[in-house]
Amino acid sequence: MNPLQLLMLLGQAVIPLLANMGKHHQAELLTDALAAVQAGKNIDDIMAQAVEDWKVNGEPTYDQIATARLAIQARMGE
Amino acid sequence: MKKIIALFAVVLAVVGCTGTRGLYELADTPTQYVKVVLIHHNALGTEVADLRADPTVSQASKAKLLAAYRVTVCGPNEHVEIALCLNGPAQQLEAAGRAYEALHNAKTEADMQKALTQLVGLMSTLINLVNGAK
Repeated sequence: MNPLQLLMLLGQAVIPLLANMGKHHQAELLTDALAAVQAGKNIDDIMAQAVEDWKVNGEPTYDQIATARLAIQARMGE
Repeated sequence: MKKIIALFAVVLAVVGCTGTRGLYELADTPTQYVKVVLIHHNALGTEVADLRADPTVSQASKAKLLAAYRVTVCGPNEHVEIALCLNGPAQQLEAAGRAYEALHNAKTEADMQKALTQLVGLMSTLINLVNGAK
């Protein structure tokens, strides 16, 4: 377990304790903080994978980046 | 208690940014920096798409995320669905990066800088929205 996973686990354990103590606002703040961190972590994981890809395959071409963007645009589902 | 929660969030945020920092550190040239920004934009787009598919995220947040992503890939005159947009700030930066890669001169550099400034400003809004989505 890395430090981030440990901190996330601790945070999730603290949320019900805060709620039980009647500190609902604080529990909500911590829930939001964890959700924000999770979103940031997801993006960071993608960036870390891009670092590995760059090191193994060399810098990506603009065509490769554009292809990935088009796939993301198609996922937006309006 | 608020201070503890804020500190907790800051610690987590710092621990969790090594991948992003690592990618930006790989860029040695202006065109590589542009590519990193575009990869970062794609990472944000991926998270936006994931959040839009998440049933726990509110409809209001989903609409804000979509609007914030839209302005990064659709030009002001492109009134089509996002999948069909071709001329937003991300594509303009991509084109400027390609032009600079093919021909290094003052004009292509200035065009690339202008496009970079525009997209990064919009990405900043997107980052704040992604981190506030619930």
